[in-house]
Amino acid sequence: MARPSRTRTASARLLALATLALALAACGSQLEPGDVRVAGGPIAIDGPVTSADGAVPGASVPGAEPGAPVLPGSSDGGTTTAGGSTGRTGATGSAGDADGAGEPADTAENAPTGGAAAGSCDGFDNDQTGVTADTITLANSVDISGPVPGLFESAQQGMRAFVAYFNATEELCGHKLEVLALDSRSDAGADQQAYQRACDESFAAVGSQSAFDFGGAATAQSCGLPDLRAYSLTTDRRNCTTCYAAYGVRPGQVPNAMPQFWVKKEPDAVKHVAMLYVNAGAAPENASAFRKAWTANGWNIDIFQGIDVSEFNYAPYVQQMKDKGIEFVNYIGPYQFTVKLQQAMAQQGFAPKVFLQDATIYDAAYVEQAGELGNGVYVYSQTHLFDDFSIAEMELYRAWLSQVAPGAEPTAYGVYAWSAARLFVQEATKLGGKLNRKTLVAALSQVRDWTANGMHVPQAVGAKTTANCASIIRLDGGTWTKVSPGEFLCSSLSNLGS
Amino acid sequence: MSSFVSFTIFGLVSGAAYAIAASGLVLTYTTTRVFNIAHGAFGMVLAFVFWDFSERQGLPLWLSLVLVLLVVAPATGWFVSRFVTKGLGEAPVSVALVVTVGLFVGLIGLAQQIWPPEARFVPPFFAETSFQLGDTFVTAHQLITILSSIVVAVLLYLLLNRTRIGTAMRASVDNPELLKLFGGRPEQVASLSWAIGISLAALGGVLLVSVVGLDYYALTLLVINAYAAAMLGRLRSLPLTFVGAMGLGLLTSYASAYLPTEGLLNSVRNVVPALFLFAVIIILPQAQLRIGQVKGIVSAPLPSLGKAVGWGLALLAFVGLVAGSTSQANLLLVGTAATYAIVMLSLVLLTGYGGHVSLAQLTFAGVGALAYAKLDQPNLYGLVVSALIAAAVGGLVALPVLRLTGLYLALSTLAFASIMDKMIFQADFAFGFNGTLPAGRLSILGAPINGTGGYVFAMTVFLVLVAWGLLLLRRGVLGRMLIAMRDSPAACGTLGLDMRWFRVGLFAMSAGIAGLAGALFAGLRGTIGSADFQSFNSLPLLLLAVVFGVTSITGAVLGGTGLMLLPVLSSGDPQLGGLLFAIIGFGAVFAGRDPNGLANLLFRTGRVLERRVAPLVLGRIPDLPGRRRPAGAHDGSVEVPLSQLTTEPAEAAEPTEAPAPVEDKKEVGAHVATRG
Repeated sequence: MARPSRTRTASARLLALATLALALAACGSQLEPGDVRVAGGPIAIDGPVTSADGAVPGASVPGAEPGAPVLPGSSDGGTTTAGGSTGRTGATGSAGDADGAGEPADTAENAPTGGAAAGSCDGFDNDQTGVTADTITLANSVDISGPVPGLFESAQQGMRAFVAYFNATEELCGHKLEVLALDSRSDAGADQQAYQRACDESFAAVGSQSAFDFGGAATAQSCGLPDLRAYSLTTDRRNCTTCYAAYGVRPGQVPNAMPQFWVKKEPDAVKHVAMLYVNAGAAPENASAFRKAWTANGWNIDIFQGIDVSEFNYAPYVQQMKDKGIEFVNYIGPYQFTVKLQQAMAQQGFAPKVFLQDATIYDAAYVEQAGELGNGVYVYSQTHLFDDFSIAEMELYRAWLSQVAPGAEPTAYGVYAWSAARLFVQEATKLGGKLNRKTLVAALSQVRDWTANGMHVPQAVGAKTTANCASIIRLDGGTWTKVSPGEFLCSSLSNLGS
Repeated sequence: MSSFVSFTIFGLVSGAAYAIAASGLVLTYTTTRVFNIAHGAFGMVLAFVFWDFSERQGLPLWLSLVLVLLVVAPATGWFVSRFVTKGLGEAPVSVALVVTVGLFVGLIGLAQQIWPPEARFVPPFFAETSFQLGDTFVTAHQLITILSSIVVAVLLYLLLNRTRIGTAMRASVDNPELLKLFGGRPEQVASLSWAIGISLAALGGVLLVSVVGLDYYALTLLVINAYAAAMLGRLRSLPLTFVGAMGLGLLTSYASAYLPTEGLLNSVRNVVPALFLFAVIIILPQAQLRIGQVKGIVSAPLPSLGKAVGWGLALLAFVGLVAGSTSQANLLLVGTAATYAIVMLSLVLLTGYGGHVSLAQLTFAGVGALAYAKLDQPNLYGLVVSALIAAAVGGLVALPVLRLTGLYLALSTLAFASIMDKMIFQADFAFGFNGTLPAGRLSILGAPINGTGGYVFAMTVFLVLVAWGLLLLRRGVLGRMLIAMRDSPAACGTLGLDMRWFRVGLFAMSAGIAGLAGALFAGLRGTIGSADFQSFNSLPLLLLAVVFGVTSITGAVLGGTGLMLLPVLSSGDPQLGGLLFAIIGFGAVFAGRDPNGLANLLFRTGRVLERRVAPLVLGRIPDLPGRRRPAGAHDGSVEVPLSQLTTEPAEAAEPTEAPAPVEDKKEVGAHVATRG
């Protein structure tokens, strides 16, 4: 039955050796994904680099060497790159310099503290949790490890990018900001543990995001931890009284701007709509709410179908859409499944007039994987284009993102995490010496119309309501362009009840 | 009508994929009696290898295919059969399953280590070509898949039934010794069948990768759906397996097409493979797998009553100390470890003592948690009722599978767990879709336990109580019946023991313990959801339980701690995570051979220390009046030769107790006691 133990020991040794050898080989033999990306991608690691689609912020980022503060009043020359619009990074202090026509103006609002009137620092309490004589610790908990590695890592990168930008030139009443980076491992239990650590070791949590954020909601509330998130994804987290999110969603509130846009643009196509969604996470709940709201706006949803996570054959669903004469397809789910659906559609020769999804696919990884299938795809987005450097804040985000995480791609999660970090700093600066957990939560509850200097749609952070604006962008040849008029389309909200 | 034809064609494509996967599975089982749970994982790794050759290194497509299918895959199969699964066919089901689950986990870790996560893409074969059949388009790649599955089925059938080597393959599993006498070489035959089996896994992976994507889990889990097809052929008949696979593919396609898109029926679509598996296993007569084998396992030693009490109190003291001194976040980790330890205790009862493998223990924990949250009685009453509800569910599950044993039983629990996961837990009367329920912290006899430290201590009290209960059970009549049932059901039958209702009771008790763990966990977490009890996680649970020792309480406690630590350690460094999985998985492949696990190593070390060190220590302890100490240390080990057994009860001598000096009261001849 059992092999003689000597053979077994020998086999065990051999296997262990093989594993070790493989592991060592693997360590040395692979190119870093970052290197691969840099070889082909537009983001500079150091020094200015031109990109195919326009300018990239140049090397002269203020305080590019962390710890080399740039004195107020001085400004760094912008670098001109071949793309067209100039790279211009924010100067500290109140001076706004413009380099010429078409330049985005550096204004005080792009300064790390936002140019708002700082409260007096008298009476600053250094004995609070997460505060020392010269540092304030901010926790950030996102899903990094787990079944989908790096799921929301971009949110942590966005928050760290802003903190690096702030620390380069500013202090909060004599305090630098420190980041307590936590991993919620795509698990509610881990989220609870992360928030317990945040309660015990940090002053506030900023820019967090987790698919199972219900785990730590009660923990955050019970210790009064201000939790200014990038996104709140579950009802429990939204209901937590000390938790706010830069990206606001109230269940049962759906914006009407996007469906109204399509009723005008494609009045026939919206009468034959298919809504497909992945049977996971918040997708089914969201899909139900969207369906009600969009029907109320004049759409006709002929197919409303959930697709299992383990489904690998999308052809039957495509056939259903062909049978019903669908002209407008909306999908809710991760970009990998979007690609599968689009592949099946292409194979079956099914080409609807409109393929629309939310900003989940506004992601370089989707563009790469979809290839030609991505041409003509529409996205409704709540941020400006990541390459729109007419928005100085967007440029700052991109510049500092490449500082703290070279090779990292911008995403909507990163934008909102940066936004959350900026909001924290601005509110904390206004509070000055009165800053403590309670006053911060109270201040956050008053925030309305927050755009992070124009990076995204106005968010009523304090009211925790859904944003009522969006823009429609379209992908062609690997480039995204805005097709909706004006900055954003704004309209009313459908209130469907919870 | 034309869309019906379309759906039929799509179903055939899915079915072809399942057929290739299931054929390889059936081949390895038929010829070596090892059900390779890691079949899909092999396919996944080899799909990555194919990507590496064809996309990353840019080799020509035909060369990559030849290398993967005819060189790398068979070599892997040969390696696995010679060094990993040798002799596994004769081992108990728990061991065989755990080894392949170990391979499963190890291969996923290996893939994550060698090919870290990033966007990768494999284009389909002949991407531009497609054929139009009426209204439907069939791509060249899909046609190749269907044709491959037919060719594979025919070739395999011919191999097994019309060739000498095939006959040798079938002979080697029935009676390898007899085959040797006839000049056959069962080891070579086993290697060949594994080589072909893994090649088929590779073929399945290569054909599916352009559709499923290069994902560590998707390809792996896909093959689990193919188990149902393999079961239809009763793991023996390839034609029936093929039919089963096609049937499964068609069923899933029609379900996608014609089921309503809302309500409970909607979620049926997601569980068609699991329902198919469950139905097939229950309805079809179970093929006789093993006949008349007496398979005793040398169990881990049973601790004496004194030792059990002592160690239990020591654990409580340790946790009490920890609860008072460590951070709240770490306490949550300790509580999680306690939960897993209690769930593993349920496995000790079911698998360690009873010999039945269950892949649904976390699901029963989920039932307990759900009941606790719904009852909204955060007290002992609520706890007990939740455990009872979980026990009732366990008993209900055991009823239809009464006559199943071994592998069939394990797979039916897997199917049950999958159905609970995707259908029942998501229903509105349960957690709701991805919903959560609040759960209050326990209050014992009116006194609330508010602090995390206190709650974790209470969890440990329950852990120790359950452990003592299990040990008491083990010592009694029930325990002996359990061991007898595990070692030889046939012998029990001849003695007139009715095992069926006993098994229902066993399942119920085990489910009840798991439910208790789930209810306690719900209280720890405060908010609980279906995502916390995913069926997939029962695999690493079983793995660690057996690696650390599923026959002893110590093994369960260590296993629970290990399971808790695994994601924590791997989150610190994602590269390390893959390596850790690989080490544990492959380590389990060897450690899993002994169900007494690593705990047994500890016990042996303890005994060695006791033998060597204790006399030295005891020699220095001063005499104290009134204490008589027998000469030798004893621990109830079953390795004691029969001739040295006495019926004299001996005292449990702890080294720290003050004994009489050895030279004074030395007994003539060693009194070595058995179980206390």
